[in-house]
Amino acid sequence: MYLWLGEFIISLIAALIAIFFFADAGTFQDLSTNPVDIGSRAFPRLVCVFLFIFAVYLMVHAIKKTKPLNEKVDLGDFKTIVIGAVILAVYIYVFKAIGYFYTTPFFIFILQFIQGSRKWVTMIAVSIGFSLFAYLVFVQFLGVALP
Amino acid sequence: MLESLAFGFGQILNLNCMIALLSGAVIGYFVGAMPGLTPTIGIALLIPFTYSMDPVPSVVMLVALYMAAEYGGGITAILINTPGTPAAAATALDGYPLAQRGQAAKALGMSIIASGIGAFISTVLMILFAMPLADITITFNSPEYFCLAIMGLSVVAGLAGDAIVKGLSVVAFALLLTTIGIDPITGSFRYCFTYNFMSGIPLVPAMIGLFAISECFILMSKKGRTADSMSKIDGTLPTAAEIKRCFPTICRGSIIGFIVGMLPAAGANVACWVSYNFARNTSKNKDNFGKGELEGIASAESANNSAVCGALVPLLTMGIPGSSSTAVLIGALMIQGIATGPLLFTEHPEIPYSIFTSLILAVPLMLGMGLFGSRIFSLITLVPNYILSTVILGTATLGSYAINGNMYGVWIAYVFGIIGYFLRKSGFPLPPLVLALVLGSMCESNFRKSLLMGNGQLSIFVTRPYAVVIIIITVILFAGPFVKSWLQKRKTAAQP
Repeated sequence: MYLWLGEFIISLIAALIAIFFFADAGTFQDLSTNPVDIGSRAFPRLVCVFLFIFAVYLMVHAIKKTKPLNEKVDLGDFKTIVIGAVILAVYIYVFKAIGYFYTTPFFIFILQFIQGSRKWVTMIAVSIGFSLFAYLVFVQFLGVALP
Repeated sequence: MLESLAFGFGQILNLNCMIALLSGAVIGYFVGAMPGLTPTIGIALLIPFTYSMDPVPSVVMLVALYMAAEYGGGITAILINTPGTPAAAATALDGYPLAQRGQAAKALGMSIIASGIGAFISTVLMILFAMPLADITITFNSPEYFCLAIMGLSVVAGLAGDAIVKGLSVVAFALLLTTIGIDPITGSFRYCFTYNFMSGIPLVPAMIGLFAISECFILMSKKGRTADSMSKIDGTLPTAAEIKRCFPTICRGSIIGFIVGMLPAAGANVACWVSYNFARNTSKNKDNFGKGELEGIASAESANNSAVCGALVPLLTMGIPGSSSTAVLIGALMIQGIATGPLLFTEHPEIPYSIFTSLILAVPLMLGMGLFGSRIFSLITLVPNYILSTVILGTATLGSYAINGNMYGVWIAYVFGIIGYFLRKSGFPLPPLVLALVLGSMCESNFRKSLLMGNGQLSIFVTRPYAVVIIIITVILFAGPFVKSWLQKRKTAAQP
C-alpha cells in the first residue's frame, strides 16, 4: 500500500466522521438555562469543522502524491494481522458468554499458530502458563471476577 | 519542605511500597529493553494490575516502571544497535560502536551512571520546582485551566512540515471523541448511540488499545524475534577519570532533559536529542561523536531519565501531562479516584511526596540493578515475536476487562488498537491523540465555565495575569517551530 493511499483513506474517513458528527449534534437537547452558555452543540461542531478542514487538506495533499507519500508502506504479513484481528474479535465476543478460562487457552494457542509457530510444546506451555498467570494474579491476588 | 519529604518517606518505607518499587523497576527494565515496547505501553498494561492496590504503592510502581524503562532502552541500543525505546536512539549512536570494539561494559556502565545521576538531579529539581509551582497553580480557576489545556494541545506544532496537519487532525479527532457522553455543564446526552457511551470513551482501555494492541498487530506482522543472539558484555566499566570527564555533560543533560520534559508532549524522546546535539556542539571531542564517544552516551541517557521527572512536574502541579506516559499515568490516578492538579498537594499529599521520595530511593536501586542485571534484561529480545505479541494481547484484553468488569472497555481497546495500527502505518502521530483525549474535556468544560464566570465575555482570558502568561507561553510554543524553520530556510538561502 502506498503512503498517499493510506493518508487519503484515513482523511476521507475523518471527513465523513466530521460530517456525521456535525449533523448529529443537531439532535442534542438544549438544556442550557444560562443565556451566556454556548450550549452542548457548539464545541463538538467547532471541532467537526476543524477536523473536516484538516481532513480535506490531507486528502488534497495525498492526491498530489508528493514525496515521501509515493513510498510504499511496509505492512509486513498483513494477512496474519487481519486473521489475528478477527480471532481477537471472536474471542472478545465469546469469552464473556462461555467463560474466560475455557476460551483463553484456545485463543492463545490459535494466535501463536496463525503467526507460524509449530512448536507444539512451547505453544501449549504458553497457553496454559498465561491462563495460570491470569488466574493467580487477577483472580487470586487482585480479586477480579473473571467470567 | 523537609517536613514534606519526611512525610513522603513515611509513606513509602513499608514492605508494600518497597515491593511495588522493586517490581515496577524490574518490569520497567524489561519493557524498556524490548524494542517496540515503550514506557507508555508498560504503564498502560500495568494499570489494571494496580486497580486493587492502594494509591501510593500503585503510583510508586508505575513511576518506577517509567524511570527504569528509560534506562532499559539503552541496553539493547548498546548491545544490538536497536533502541528499546525511542528515547534511546541517541544512545545507540555511540553505544553500539563501543560495543563493537569490545567495550560494551564501558558503554553500559556510562549509560547507567548517567541515568542514575540524571534521575537524581531531576528529582531534586522536581522537588524544588513542584512545590512552589503548586502554590501558584492552586489559585488557578477555569480561565487558567482552559489556557493550560490549550497550551498542552499547542505543542502539536512541535511536529515539523506536513506532520503538523496530521497532528492537528488527530487532535481534532480525539477532541471530538471526548464530547461523547454527557455534557459536563448541562447534562444533556451527546452522541450516545448506545447506553455505554453515556460514560464517554474510557481513557485507560483507549490507551491500551492505541499503544499495546496496535503494537501487537505490528509484532504479528514480523516473523522471528528482535535479536537472534546477544553480544557479549566485554570490557571494563568506565574509570573514575572517564566519569569525571563526562560529569559536566551529565549535569547539563540532566537540566536540559528536565526542562524539555516539562514541555507537554515533548518528553524523553525529544530531550535525548536536544541534549545529544548540545553536547556534540560544545564538546572538545566533537569529531568522536557517533564513533563511540562516552560523552554522547552520557548526554543522551542523563537527559532521557531526567525528562521523566520533568514530565511529572506539569502532571502533578497542573494536571497537564508532560508526555504520553504521564498521560497514561493520569488514567492510573483516575482509577484510584484521584484528580491531578494543584489540589493534589492539599487533598492527596501522599501521592506527590511519595513520588518524590520513591524516586530518591529508586536511584541507587536502579543503579545496582542496571549494573548487574543488564544481561538478564536484554534477554527479552530473544523471545520470539509470536509469544510476545500473544502474551501482550492476552494481557491487554484481560486488563481492559479488569478495569470496569465489563466488555465495553475491551471493545474500546480493540477498536482503538485497530485505529492505532492504521494511524501509525499512515504516518499519523499518536502522542497528540493521547494528549487531546486527556485534555479534551478539561478544555471544553473550563472554557464554558469561564464564559459563565465572565458573563459571556472573552475578556476574562486576558484580564487574569496567570492566564495571560500561559497564553504568551502558548503562542511561543506554537509559533516557535515555525519561526525556527523560517529562520533556518533564510539561513540556507543566504548561504552561497
